[in-house]
Amino acid sequence: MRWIVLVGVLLPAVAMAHRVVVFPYWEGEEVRVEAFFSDGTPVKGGVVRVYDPAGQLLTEGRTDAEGTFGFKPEGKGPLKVVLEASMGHKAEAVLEPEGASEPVQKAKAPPEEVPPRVDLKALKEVVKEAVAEEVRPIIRELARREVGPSFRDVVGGVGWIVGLMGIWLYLKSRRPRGG
Amino acid sequence: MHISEGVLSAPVLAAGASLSAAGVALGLKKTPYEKIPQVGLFSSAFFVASLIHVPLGPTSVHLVLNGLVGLILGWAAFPAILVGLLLQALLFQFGGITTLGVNTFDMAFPALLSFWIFGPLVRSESQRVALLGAFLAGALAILSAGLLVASALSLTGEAFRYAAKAVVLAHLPVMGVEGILTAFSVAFLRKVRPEMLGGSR
Repeated sequence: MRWIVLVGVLLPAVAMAHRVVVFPYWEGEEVRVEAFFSDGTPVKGGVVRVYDPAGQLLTEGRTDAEGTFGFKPEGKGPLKVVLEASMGHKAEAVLEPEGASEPVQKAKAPPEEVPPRVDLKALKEVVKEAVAEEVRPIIRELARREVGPSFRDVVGGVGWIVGLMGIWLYLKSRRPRGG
Repeated sequence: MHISEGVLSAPVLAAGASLSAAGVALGLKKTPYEKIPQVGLFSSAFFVASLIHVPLGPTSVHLVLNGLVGLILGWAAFPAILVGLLLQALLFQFGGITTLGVNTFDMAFPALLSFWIFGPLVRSESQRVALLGAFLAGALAILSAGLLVASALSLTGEAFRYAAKAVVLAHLPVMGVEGILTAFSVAFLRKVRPEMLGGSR
């Protein structure tokens, strides 16, 4: 019917909505939490609570205008990050300890060689910071990608409805009509 | 409008589930054979509407269409909305399985109200009355759904005034959009398929 056509016309303009996603990631020693609705809108002023594995509340805060929240955890985690936006939206995510930040000591130079003129540790920090800076858009992109329903989900859902309708019609058709 | 898992307390969830179960049972019983395809059609429309994002207002909101669904389906809005929400929960991760009952009631009860209150207006002889009725049905169904969501949240701790303000403010643009959409749909149906609006049959 024409309704289906109307829905079909509206579909391409569709932006996905109404689910919140919380996406924590390591940024050096700090943890950054991104919170957004499934259409990509940042969750402003959402309450973020961080728990340790034992369920102890570690820290609590609100997301800023860009939907982010940062904090520096004591240990390495794992951390459970829970986001509560208004209107009954809630999401949680577990942040695994960052493996790469373990100090790697095998690059120690043998004593008889000339000591390197650069401070390796400082260099490593700088590189790490630069990489984090470069990688941030990719992380954000990844976070957003896992969000919205795909076209397949939509078509599948409509198919389910049609199927259920068929079952209902079948069940009713076995009884005398008119009820 | 979709309340997520783990937000509401068990008694609220149980109350929502039993109210919705009663509504769905009545809806299934009261729907005549010929009307089942319409239920499927509007269930699909409801299912897809949640993907249509309204980019206005303070937070992320989407169309609900419960007013229109109610006007056309009456009691059958309960099963139609339940199925739509179930699939949204499974496929889109909107809302949740445990909150299905509460969410169904929050959206289907206003749908039923719009059927009771505005159904007669929509069938009126006067085009103007019918369109006004349809607009109000679309807009007020959103408002009452928002108030029901706020009540559900307030029963679990969030202050009602705060929750209601947040939900209603966020949905003001949707109320306008849905009112207009419902009015257009009713105008279209009056011309093309007046029997779908019930009444005369």
